Amino acid sequence: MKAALFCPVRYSDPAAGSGWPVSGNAYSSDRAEQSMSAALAQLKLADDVGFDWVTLAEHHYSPFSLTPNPMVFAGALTQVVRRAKIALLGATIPILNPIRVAEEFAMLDTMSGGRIVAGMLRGSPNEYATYNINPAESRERFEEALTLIRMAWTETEPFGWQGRYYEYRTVSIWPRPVQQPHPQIFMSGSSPESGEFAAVNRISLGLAFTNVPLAKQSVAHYRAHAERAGWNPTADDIIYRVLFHVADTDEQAIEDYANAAKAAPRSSLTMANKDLETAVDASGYYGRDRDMQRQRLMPTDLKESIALGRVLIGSPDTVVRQIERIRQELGAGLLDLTIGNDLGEKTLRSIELVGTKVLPRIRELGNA
Amino acid sequence: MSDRISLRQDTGNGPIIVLLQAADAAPSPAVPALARDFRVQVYGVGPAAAAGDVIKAIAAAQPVALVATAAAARVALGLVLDEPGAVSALALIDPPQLDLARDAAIADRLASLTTPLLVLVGTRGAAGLPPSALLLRKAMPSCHIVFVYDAGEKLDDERPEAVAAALAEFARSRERYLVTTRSGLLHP
Repeated sequence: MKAALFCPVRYSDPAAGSGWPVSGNAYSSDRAEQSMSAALAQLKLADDVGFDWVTLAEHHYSPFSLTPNPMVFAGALTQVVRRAKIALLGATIPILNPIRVAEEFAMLDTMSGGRIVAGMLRGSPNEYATYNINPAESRERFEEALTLIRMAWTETEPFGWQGRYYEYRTVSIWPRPVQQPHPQIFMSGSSPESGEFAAVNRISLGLAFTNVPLAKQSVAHYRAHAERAGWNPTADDIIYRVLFHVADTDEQAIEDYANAAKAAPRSSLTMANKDLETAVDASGYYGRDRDMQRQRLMPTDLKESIALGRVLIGSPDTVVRQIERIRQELGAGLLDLTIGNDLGEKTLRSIELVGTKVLPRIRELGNA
Repeated sequence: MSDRISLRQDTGNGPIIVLLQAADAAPSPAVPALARDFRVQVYGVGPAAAAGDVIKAIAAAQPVALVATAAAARVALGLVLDEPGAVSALALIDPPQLDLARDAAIADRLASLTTPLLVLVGTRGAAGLPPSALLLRKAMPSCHIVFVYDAGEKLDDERPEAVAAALAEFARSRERYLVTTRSGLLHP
């Protein structure tokens, strides 16, 4: 089994503001710079101690994440993270210019010597307000944009595109991806519609902001549709994102986590603005299993989060056991270990413990 | 049904677009959208049709924009090569692969084609450009190849509005096709 370190690049002041969008009144450029430096240090450490991937994501208008364009941050990472793959999970393609996304991924793949993993997501519902895109069009935009990006990577002759949502007179990107035919693509598979699209189009599956029982259903759905489409996804085609904190003892890990949660209560970006979430829901964004899609965004307390596999927490021994359960239930070959709150030295220690005491023991999981 | 050429439909007002299609095919569903801005003359092309038949039938005072669907592409290419002054722009919708033995007269002369050429192909089916489009691109590097998203071989049946929009823009802009003139102004 493999592991990634997902660093959301949070703004380091928990009191900076809440809701969505968040006012910039309390913003400090020094704080932002320190936050980004800390994130670079965490991701570099992950590379040094043996993580297989480092991961970034795209979020806007909030101290929750300082990477509205993760491609920019990944550009810096290509020069700091020398071994691990650099995963962007992802670009929120329905709100972006798909050709620009194809070009940026190709640039990064070139700068990293072919170490880019190309996540393409619909993103969290609030992002549709960011660039004023109708969330009702989200799924159709996503499917067309992904098809176009893949065409831009693989078609060497200049071509035009007459789509439903995108139109280009000519496309011929330079640079082109190092990995051929293109970097591995991941997309979210939490909804049945997404799982079906991923299966039919042979795209790898990412599961985030969910829990093990729900993810298990999503994986089964994806595998069933992939089989119908004539292929069998491997464990490396499935990544499960989960919060984590590892300390030398269980008690220390839980104390660290609880203190951080008190200082900075967690709320999903979408649920941080109820009016926005209601409007997005009314657009039909969630699809045919709306209730489950909304339910998985609801917060749970720590005990429940551990039971549901939303959080890995404890000593290395405890966390290995928690990972074994996830591997067994989901068949996922990749864990996207997420830094919930930046605890400074404690977070660095947590990364180090995973690298030195957890990763060596989970490598063979699923290979027996 | 003529085995050479017959006028099937003449609709709309404006600059003329001549659409050639198989004689036994129903008029393209893209015609109503095109006819909003153009006079569209639809001709059925029979198996014995030759380029000269089309020239006689059109008898236009000015060069026309010529569109050909599927198998009618051969006749259209022959016409443009024989009478380049009669055609201001040529668009081919999902053209068939030229048979280099049978179509040698066309294939050998493609490099001399100076009329602006647009080739529309669907994204469904084979990944990447079909051999027919690649051959045209190789012979004429300046030709424009445009994918019509989410369409198979019957592009104009499946996405008539998208096909009509591409054809209309190409008929208007011809050599300037790469640069849009559509305004992005939202609120003057």
